[in-house]
Amino acid sequence: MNDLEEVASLLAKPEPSEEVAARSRSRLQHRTLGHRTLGRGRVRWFVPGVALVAAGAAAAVVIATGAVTNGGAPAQVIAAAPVSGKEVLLMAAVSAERMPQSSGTYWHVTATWSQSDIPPMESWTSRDGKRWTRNGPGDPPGDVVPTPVSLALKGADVSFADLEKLPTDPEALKAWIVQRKGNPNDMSASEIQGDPTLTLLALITELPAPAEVRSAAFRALAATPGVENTGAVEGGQALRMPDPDGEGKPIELVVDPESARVVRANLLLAGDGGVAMTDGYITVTTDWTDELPETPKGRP
Amino acid sequence: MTADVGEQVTDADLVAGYRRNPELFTAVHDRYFRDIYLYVAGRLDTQVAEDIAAETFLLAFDRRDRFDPEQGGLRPWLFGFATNLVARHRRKEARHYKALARLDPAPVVEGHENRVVASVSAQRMQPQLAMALASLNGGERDVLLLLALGGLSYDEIAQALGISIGTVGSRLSRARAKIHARIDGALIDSALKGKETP
Repeated sequence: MNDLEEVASLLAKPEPSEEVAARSRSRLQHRTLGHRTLGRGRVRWFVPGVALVAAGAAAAVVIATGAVTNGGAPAQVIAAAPVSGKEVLLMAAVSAERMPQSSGTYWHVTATWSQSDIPPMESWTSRDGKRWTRNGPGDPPGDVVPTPVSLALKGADVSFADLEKLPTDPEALKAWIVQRKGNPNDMSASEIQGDPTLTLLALITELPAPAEVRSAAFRALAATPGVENTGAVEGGQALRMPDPDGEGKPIELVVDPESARVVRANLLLAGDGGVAMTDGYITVTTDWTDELPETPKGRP
Repeated sequence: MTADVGEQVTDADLVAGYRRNPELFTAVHDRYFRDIYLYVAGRLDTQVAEDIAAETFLLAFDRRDRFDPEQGGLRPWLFGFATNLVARHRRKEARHYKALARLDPAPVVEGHENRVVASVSAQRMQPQLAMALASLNGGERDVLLLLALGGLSYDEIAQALGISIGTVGSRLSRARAKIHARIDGALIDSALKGKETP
């Protein structure tokens, strides 16, 4: 008996798929480009693409209909340019509070990469935390499949109930984030060091946080130094802020102050704790739905 | 191991490339990802392997300035990182081998003692082999699997693990002795069972 061959055949595994190799390569490529690639555990992507030039610094007047109220009837605010980044975030904070409570069975998130062949990545999360994805890394193309990866915040799983209980005061929310314990392998460098910025961004991007918590997160971000508004673009205001991880390019995100949503960003803080970066933009939409598209083998 | 179309790119070429432009480190990935992945997948599972293999190249990239082509090849250098990362999963690795050991072996064909012994094929012995792997200590397993799964030579294993060639040899003989003891024991058991079968 050749014991070495026996060992090799006992432990032999199929060749890595092209997707597996490509994902690993993307992580490396991202690192070589000078960004910090986050740790193990959750999937991180880097999608190369030609950088979009932040469109039109020309916007002279921003009209945010109904974005600000004094607790009474919606007021139409005409803000003289330039509106600062801080003001955009505060407007979004006010709008967030006014958002009607949505209902539905599944929290549905779609992330679409600009200038890329990658099909939109979708996820559905039910209130008990069960999740399904379509076109996620490693998913069979086009199929809706169950995923064991739960929603996560700052390196630890998070449930709907957890999100409901978050502080609704900006300072209290920041303090809660700083104290939260997570797996360092699933956190970025700044999160490990106690900087709440990326966690706050995660709360306003893909996670189904309640309106008051989202509002608090917008206010907390408004107090973050260095947020600039580079002007009105399609869908909202293009904000730029320093990357708290400090190594890469600044974070650019388009915030719609009216709907209080992050419309697109070059750094996506995904609901499952993943982080995606791109030279272009990742467009995000979120909605509640009662429909979960058929999974290939029926609903699990 | 890798099919380079046309010219042979050497490790020295790859090193010269990424020293000039760090982005060219992806060429190191392109050449060695498969081997690292299959090595880790064999020891743990494919899911963890994806992560560890990716992490291996990130670590290597961060430490690329410390790689000296005079001291050895990229391959053992990378297998060293992968082995260190696998070492963080010792318990998972042990569970993996125990799970392999629980897989039902092919049923023993009844008959003559000779036939029974002959049927103690590779497949029949796999549970024993898996248990033997689980019983090795970390150092013995690293050496054995860098050889059997990674296809590294003795001096490459020495480079990967930062140990002497003598230590490679002694760990390997201990590992093989443990495996043989377990399998020989099982062979004898099967043979005895065969005799008892009417």
